[in-house]
Amino acid sequence: MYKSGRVLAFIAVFLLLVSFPFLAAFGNAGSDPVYDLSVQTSDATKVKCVESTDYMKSSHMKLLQQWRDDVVRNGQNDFISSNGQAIPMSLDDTCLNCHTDKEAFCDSCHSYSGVTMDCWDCHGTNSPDAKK
Amino acid sequence: MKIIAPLLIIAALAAIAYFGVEVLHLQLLFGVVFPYVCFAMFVIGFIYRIVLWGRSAVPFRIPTTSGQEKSLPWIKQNKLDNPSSKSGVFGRMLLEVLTFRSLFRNTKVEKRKDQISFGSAKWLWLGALAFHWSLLIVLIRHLGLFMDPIAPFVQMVQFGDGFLQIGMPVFFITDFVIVCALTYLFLRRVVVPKVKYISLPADYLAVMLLLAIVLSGILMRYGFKVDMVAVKQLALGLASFQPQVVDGIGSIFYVHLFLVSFLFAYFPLSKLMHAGGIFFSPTRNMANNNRAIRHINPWNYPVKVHSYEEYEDDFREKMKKAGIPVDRSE
Repeated sequence: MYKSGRVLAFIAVFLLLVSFPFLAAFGNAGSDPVYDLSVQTSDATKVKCVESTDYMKSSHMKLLQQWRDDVVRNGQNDFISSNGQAIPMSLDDTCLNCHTDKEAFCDSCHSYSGVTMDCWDCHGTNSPDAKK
Repeated sequence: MKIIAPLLIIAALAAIAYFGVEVLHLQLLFGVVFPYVCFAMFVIGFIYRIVLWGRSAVPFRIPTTSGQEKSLPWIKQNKLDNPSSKSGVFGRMLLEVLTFRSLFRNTKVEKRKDQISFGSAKWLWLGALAFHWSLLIVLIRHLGLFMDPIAPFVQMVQFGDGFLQIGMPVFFITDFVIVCALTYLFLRRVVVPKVKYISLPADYLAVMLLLAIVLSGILMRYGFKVDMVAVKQLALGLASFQPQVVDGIGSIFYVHLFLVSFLFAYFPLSKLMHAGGIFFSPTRNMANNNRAIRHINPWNYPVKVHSYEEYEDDFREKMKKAGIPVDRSE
């Protein structure tokens, strides 16, 4: 090989670059977000979830966006869920009413998967430390 | 036909991934096996071609001299376009890699009123620059998938990319730029007759494959949502060599991943290797010091010669008899 020193240095830099994801993930195998979907309310009879857990897990972002459009743009205030119950379209008055720990209920997965949103910049939540 | 064949290949790849995951439930194959195999092919193939290039001799000093060469002290040298030192070459290569100065010099020849005129043509440079830099930012954004917690610089890039704060999920500037740039690079090969004439199916395949990857990624982000937590678990598992099959990721993700895997495997076999090849361009990576330093062809080997002195030694007596003058009389 001609100028083998330089070629080998180039290969070393290349290997360093392509191994970056592996170095970044080193020791992170099977790291999962620590989230908590449990209900933290005193009155268990009042608990009624908006939709099934599976649906909420996969589609809450679509649902909340639809709520925003309905409330802000269309002036509707009630959401009729798939099993027929009328639910006020408000995150604070529904989900976060029972799942009071926003840190465990929302943020853990969002920060784990790098999903950032500016909703919380203005909107307060029921949790006392979120209102600053 | 030049366009249809690569289009069919990409459509087939996407269909294979979709069918394989949706119907046959081959999550393990498309989520773990193919990514590993294709990534290994990429790394090994890349190094193989680099070594192959490293082994080929460059017998001549052929730097492109695009400016005043180093000369007398009162003549100003163009150190970037005609470098005579290692640092000059470094600067030239750096700007070549980061800003594509060779493409910037692209000219267009036109016949105007029976005269040939050379005009500057910057669109290719602009399209290439927009594409490559967008790709870099997109790749950095994707690095977040392999980190827990996500490093601040990745978050900063993500924030900067979504700086316009349009829509929900927030619209990434690079998503738009990379689609525009790739569309331009593709249309250029379709619309401009001369470029179309010299384009090969492989040229279209590269551009269209990248476009397909970008579009599948955009669809995943803005259209069909995928379970990001599951995607990240899969990515972390792959990158820490403890792969796990994660359920519940949408099929569109596997289409995206399979196309990326194919791109990685195809990379060393294709002209995409210009990523490594640019560093091996003799016209750019050599210093123009031809007159200052003697360069010896690395191919040179000791040649057995028969000098005139030896010739005379062989035939001295005969030459004397024939009356031919000799240098030494014995």
